[in-house]
Amino acid sequence: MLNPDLPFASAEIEKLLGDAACATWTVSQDPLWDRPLDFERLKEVGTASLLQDIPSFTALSITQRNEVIHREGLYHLHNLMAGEHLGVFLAAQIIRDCPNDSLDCAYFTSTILADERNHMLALRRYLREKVGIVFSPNPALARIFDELMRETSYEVKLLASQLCLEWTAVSLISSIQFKNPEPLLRNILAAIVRDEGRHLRFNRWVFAHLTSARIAELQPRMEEMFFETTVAIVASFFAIPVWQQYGFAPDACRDYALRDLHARGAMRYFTRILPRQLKRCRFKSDRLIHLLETELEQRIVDAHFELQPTCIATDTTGIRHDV
Amino acid sequence: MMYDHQGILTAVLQILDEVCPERSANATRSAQASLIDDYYIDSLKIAELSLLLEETFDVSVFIPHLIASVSDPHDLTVGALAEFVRSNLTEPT
Repeated sequence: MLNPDLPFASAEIEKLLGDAACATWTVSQDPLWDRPLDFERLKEVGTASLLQDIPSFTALSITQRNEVIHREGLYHLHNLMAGEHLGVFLAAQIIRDCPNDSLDCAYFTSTILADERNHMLALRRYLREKVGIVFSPNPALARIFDELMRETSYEVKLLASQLCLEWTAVSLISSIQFKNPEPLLRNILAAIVRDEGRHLRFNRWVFAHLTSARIAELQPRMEEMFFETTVAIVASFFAIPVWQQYGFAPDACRDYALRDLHARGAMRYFTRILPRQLKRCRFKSDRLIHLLETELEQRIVDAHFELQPTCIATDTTGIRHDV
Repeated sequence: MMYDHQGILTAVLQILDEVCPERSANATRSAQASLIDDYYIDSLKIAELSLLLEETFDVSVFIPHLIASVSDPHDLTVGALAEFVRSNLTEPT
């Protein structure tokens, strides 16, 4: 085990590791931390709520609607932060379980661990210190996180956490960078995205080098976890704690939010486009597409009713409210 | 398959037609068109566009990385996206 002469199997991963070592994390030194947030600008988010057509939402004033959208965005950032936190622990498990006959997997995953730690701490500081509002992560995400921690295959952990969860999350939040004018948040997200680009290339390398026999062995579990992870991602779009704060009726929220996801093309994306990511990693699965097309929507509805989220909201005066 | 600069731009424009069928009435189908202001690119389209570009060029095309690299994302053009693809195609491994 203690062999200092272990080689890198891949020059690409050795170079990526070098890039990671040179990528200085400067977010914590950003001078914007010392300036107060402009909350009015922060609320000019320019995005649309999933509830934009629900009568109780349209009845609100523009200021109130922006407040709802602002809080929904903060809820999604909390979910992202929870994912980064999980990423630290999953990376530790992957380092323990991955092949140790070369440096590639364990050493590169150690950079993922450090990156996820940096991301989590920056988001945590931003949300607690600068914004002052704290939400618990969506219960569907918490459930899939627990399942991933119990997963025995490091490959399944890597694909579900990095490719399905992180790739989707980072792609989706990247629009915050051009829709939200708050510069500190933009800088944090930009730094996170730069790191995730390296992680993605590493994931592709891992799956390009699995044997066909290993791919076949992992296929059923990969399909199952990819499906469950997709359910959790879509379920997490339902910002239930925020909607509860405004007293929107749960049944109406579910119906309007689902309708809006269809209208935006999100359901098509998750049933038709996202599975192609799996195919890019050599896991072609008609069964997964069938599962997503026939069961995803019902599972999201089930998640909406089965899991009653707990939410802690802390306002800027430091007063905590159980919601 | 080898792509020259024009070939990459042509392929990028074709993929944008597929992912973003609704364009600004003033948008020109050119390298100068803005991804945000002319093609109305949003988060889902970013994810889909990344995937289609990867499938076409068989190389990692992580568009959030391109967005993070500019100070004003509204300046992102079709030409910048094509150049991003080209740089990924030619990056030594």
